[in-house]
Amino acid sequence: MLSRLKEWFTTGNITVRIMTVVLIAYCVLVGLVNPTFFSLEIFLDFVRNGAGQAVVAMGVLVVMISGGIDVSFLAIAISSSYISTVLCTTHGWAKPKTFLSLLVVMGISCLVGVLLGCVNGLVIYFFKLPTFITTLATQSIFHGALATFVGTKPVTASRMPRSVIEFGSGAIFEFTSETGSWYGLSYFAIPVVFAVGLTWFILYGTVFGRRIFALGSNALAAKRCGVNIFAAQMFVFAYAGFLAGVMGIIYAADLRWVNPITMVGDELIVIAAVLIGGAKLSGGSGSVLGTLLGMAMIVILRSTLVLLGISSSWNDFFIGAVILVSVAVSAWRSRQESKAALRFDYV
Amino acid sequence: MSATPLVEARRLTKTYGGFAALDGVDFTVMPGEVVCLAGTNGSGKSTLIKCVSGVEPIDAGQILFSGTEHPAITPTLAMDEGVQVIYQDLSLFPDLPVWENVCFQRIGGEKRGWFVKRREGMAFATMQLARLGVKVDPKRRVERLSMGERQSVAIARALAQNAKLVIMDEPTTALPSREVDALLGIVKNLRSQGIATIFVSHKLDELFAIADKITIIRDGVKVGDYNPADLDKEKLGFLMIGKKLDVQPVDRSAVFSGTPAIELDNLVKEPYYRGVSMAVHPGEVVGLTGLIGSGRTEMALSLFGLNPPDGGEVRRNGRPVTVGKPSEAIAAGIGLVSEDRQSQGLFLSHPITTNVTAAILDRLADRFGLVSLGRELDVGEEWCGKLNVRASSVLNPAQSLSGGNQQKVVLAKWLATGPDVLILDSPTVGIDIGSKADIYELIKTVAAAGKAVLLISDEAEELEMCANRVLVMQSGEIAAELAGADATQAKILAAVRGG
Repeated sequence: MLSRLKEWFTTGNITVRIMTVVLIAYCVLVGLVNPTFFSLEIFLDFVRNGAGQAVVAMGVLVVMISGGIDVSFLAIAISSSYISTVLCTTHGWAKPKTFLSLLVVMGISCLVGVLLGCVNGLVIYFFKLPTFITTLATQSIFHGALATFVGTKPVTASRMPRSVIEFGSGAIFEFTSETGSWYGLSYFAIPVVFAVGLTWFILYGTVFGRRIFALGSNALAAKRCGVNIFAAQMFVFAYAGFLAGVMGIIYAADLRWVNPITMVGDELIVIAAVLIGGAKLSGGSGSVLGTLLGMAMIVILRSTLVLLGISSSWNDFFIGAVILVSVAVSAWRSRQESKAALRFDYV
Repeated sequence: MSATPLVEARRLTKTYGGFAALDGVDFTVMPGEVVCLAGTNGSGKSTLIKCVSGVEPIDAGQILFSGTEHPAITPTLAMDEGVQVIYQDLSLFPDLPVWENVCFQRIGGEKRGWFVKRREGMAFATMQLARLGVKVDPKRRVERLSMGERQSVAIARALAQNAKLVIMDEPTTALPSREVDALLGIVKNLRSQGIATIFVSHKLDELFAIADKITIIRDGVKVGDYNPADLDKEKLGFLMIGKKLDVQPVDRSAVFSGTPAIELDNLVKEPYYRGVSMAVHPGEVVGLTGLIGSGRTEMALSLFGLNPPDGGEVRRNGRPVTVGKPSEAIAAGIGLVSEDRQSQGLFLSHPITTNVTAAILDRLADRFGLVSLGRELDVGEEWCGKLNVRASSVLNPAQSLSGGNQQKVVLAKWLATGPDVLILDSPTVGIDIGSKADIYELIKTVAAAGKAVLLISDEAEELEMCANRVLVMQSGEIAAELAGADATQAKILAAVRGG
């Protein structure tokens, strides 16, 4: 076991290695300052808080590996969860508090997500547009269309399908703490495991996943090798839309409230997590484990500054610092490599 | 020969807008044959390759694969017939490991399944690399490989797709000399396995080293097929450009004395080089050569403020100077024409004149900091005239020029800054024989104008032609100095190899 661990540590992906060390070191630091940190309750809380973003980060990862970027996923998440919950409420679908009815809500949400993702993919492929600008535009379009054509009235807890409420409040297993309160592993862990596992399988286990890497790594060579670029591009955006649909329902269940006119401004946090996890903006690289660790780092940082006795107003400051440092470290490393090889492309 | 040719092109003609790039060319490749295509830039070599690989449709004539005629050649058909092109950019995926690059078409295993067959693919890739006699870890990512290793990976990928003919378009241009030898070894290895190669290179030595047959093309017309044993360099050059090249070796009797324009005293930069002392006088061309790893390029970069030295002294006209970064080097009157002109020396999509004036804009500016286009044009035209750059207009983009003319533009840019010391790193890499002669003349002219020139080159012939003295580096130290009658190609080569 120990030797296996050692082997992984010396040969594995360097970004993942560095992040693991930093994350563990940080946790130890927080634990030393405030021993209450080392509790199952806090850990389970992280899972719940980070679930939505972790799911959607997998979709963003796939898009970024293909050489693109998606900033429209939160607009997609809001659109799909709003449309889904409104449809289910007005038509009386998904009324019972069952798993099946949750699947209906989730399914509609994912379907809307896939459709909107396909809009991104089609526009980008047929007009040969840069992905950033396109998704920046569709972000506003999706959001605006939702408010204009679907409605602006928030779905409140009383109008929300019961299964969604249950999804947000229930737990896979529960404990009672010494103070008598309940805590447990939220159902949100299930979609996270699902999204991570599926993304892992697609990226590392299928030929199609390798072609997504190839496309991001060298688009011209991919074309010469007969990679179906249309299929790959459609897939990555549809997949990001699909996971945004899942995230939308997680948000709805968490907040018990879907407001189509709020715009959650956390797109860049998710993209940052993917980047911290070793993805390149130019495409071709990125890792599932790295993204997960990047997400964990942001979630943990966000919730532990208080435990360190630092005011929560420092949150943004520290998250920004982590992004900057991690990007700077990877830039510094490739600079050292260029320098060692006497390539001067960085001057 | 009675065997059926692998590829046979008959009376091949291809015109671009009325201009015949290929005019009735006959061309054959036998199985396992190494055919070298020789010709200057624009002679039609690339067009021939594009026609054979199906990238460009032909206008007239026919192409037969293994004796079978096809109505139209498409890239897919050519690939099915075993024709694989190694593009100059290699078309690899830098972020993917070697094995995935080699067997990209069959990551899903032999049956082309949906799922990654890692073990099978790795074994297959290792086998293909072994066929080339190359040892590369199949798990390494391609971006961490050297240029030569990357090339091996590209060739292994061609083999993985059952190549019968591998077409290499100037494969050695981007390779350091040690890796060139390895590549030539690979080509011979392929021949022994019955795989044919079409090899295009401007380095005539390489053609003689591996060719079974040299096909010479000039202005879209085939000059002929030659047995390399019947040719020598001079004759080959004559056949390629259609006239006799008259390049006189530099006058070696000239003696340079007085204060050197640039002088190095015991310069050290571990682990690249140590104890390097040398001097270049105004008007002198000093050649610097050595294998990759001998420290010659690293040392030259130091003089231009890249890769600053750890110790020792650099003197300009007898006064010590520090060159810690390129701007200091430029201020000290030192110019560097780098080897990689495409990525480091030129703004390819910008007009020629902009490229010429790029380094002297502050001098062209008036007191408000504005640069008039008219003045820029004048300067651009002046230099293009001086250096004999062949372009219909100085407003054409730099990428429209041939390699030789691009190199002249890079030279013009640095000459325009008026440096006293000019470092030229492999100035004729990838340049055809006709333009090479122009560059040689240019180097001599520059020196005659009183500049000190440090000429780094892999080509002994180039050094013999241009350099007054030749310094040979080995393992980071200057191992030999050849001057006067000693600076012959044979002696330079012997010194480089450690003789």
